[in-house]
Amino acid sequence: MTQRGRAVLAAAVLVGAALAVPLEAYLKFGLVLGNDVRVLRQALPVRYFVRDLPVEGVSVADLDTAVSRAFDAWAGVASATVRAERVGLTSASPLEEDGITVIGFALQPDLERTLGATHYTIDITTGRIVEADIFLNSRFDWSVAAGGEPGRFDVESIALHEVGHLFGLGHSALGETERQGSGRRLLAAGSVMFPIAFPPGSLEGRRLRPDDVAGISDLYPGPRFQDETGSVTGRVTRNGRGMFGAHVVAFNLTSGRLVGNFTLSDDGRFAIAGLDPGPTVLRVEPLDDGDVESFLQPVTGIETDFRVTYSPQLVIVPRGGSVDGGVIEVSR
Amino acid sequence: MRRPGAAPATRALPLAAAGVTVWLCLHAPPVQAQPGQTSAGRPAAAPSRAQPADARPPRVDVAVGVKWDRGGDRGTREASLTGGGIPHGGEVVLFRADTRQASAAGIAIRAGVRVTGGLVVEGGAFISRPSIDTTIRDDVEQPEGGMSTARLREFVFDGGLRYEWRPRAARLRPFVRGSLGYLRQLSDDRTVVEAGLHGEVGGGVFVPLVRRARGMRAAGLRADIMATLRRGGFDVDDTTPTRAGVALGVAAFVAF
Ligand SMILES: [Zn+2]
Repeated sequence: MTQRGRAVLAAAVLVGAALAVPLEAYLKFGLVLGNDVRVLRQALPVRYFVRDLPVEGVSVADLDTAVSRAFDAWAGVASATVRAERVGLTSASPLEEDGITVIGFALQPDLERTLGATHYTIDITTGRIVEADIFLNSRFDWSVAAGGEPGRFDVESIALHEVGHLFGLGHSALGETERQGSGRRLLAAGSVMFPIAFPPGSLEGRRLRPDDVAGISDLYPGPRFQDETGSVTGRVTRNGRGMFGAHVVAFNLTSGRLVGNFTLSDDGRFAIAGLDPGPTVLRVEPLDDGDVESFLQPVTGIETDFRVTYSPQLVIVPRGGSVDGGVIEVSR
Repeated sequence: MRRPGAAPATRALPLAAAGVTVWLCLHAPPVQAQPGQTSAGRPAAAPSRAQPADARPPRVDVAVGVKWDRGGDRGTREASLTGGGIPHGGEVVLFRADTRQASAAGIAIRAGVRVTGGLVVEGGAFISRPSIDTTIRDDVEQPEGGMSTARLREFVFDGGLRYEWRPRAARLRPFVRGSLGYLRQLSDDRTVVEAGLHGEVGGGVFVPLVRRARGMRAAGLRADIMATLRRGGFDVDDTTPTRAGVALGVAAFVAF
């Protein structure tokens, strides 16, 4: 007998990641099957349909092109193997559970801060992804203009983020925000997979960053990925006790690339893969630039009242290997 | 009665017979009568006949000692995020990282072979354990910044030319030299290797303290001061590929 579960996994703006199980070297989605935790990974190529529903300012052809470009951006990551195949247009809604992967607009008036979301339907006996639908919330104003349009969100940018979820990536915390009313305003981001979108009119979400490249390559490694990049492991502690949920960023001093991850165990261990070889600074900061639940589950016990701390050890990441980054002790 | 030129030989013989090394000689430098120089109670030496062995420059010299490299800047990098401007946000600096190689002392070995006159072909090796230190500043959330350090293993193998003088009135032998070599730096766990070029231009002086002992022609101290040029190795900023620096060396030498 086949049981099926359905869960909302992620969205562009502050939607909880109900099944986000942290695994390995980049935050991916995982599925608990009995005693086993399985990484959520698509069978390739991903076959998708585009919903034939236009919105003001965005025709179906515009949407089709923008979604195609988003898939192409991920598929263009040389160190990863992701591929997708557009099947065609469909009148099916991305909100329906119908066994096909649909990407398109849908009206979700109650989701006042959700630009888009990715829903998985998973066979929980096998862990197979049955479908992964992406909706873009048509309560917002959208654009596909090459130069962006003030007041309108860029379809390709939001699609790029959601397609990252579709492939199995969780959220990155590589960004800075400030509180604005009940929400947050983005100040800067270093990853397409940051959960808070660039503002309407911005085109910055169209470009994958090193953090995204590391994430997708870690999940779908190309033949040379392991040989050409390196990784760092370590622990974050406070008063000698391991911390779960601290945000750790690796900054390669030669390439200038930033890749982040979290401490993902109670003893404060972290691992960051897909790094450029060379001298690398490790920076630890609290998970305070978004709702904690948009990054990790469970959210209990995550401490955010400590200072940004740099590792005393400058790690030198080897090509094709891993280096121990030691212990980084943080304090208030 | 003392014959001209006898002093160095007679002073050296007991030391050699007792098996005293060059290093001990350095602690008790002998007083030598120099050409044209008169010490109290001593006649002036007559160099050309009394010291025939010293009149010719040594053919081979070997020096072992300590070299100190001042290190220097290895570049600045900005960790940047993308801002929320429209349509493009520009860069927002998360923090800046200044990296330098710290000064370090290590073991230096040099050997020279005289080619002609004062010209010597020289090669050497230098082994040290410098650190590279990265200072963090301008962090958007933490103004105090931080410091991250890594220990390296550094090796330099070089070759070049030395030209030395033998002034008639002084026992010192000043020289100038230049060399170019291979730089090899390894991470402390030896998993990462960075190679490069290391050049030196400078000068120095030999200070002979012992002459004609145990088959050697002279032994003493050698001091070097060098301007260094370096390309490659652990360097975070490839827009400034050649780094200038300073190094000092002091060594014990023997010449044959
Ligand atoms: Zn998201």
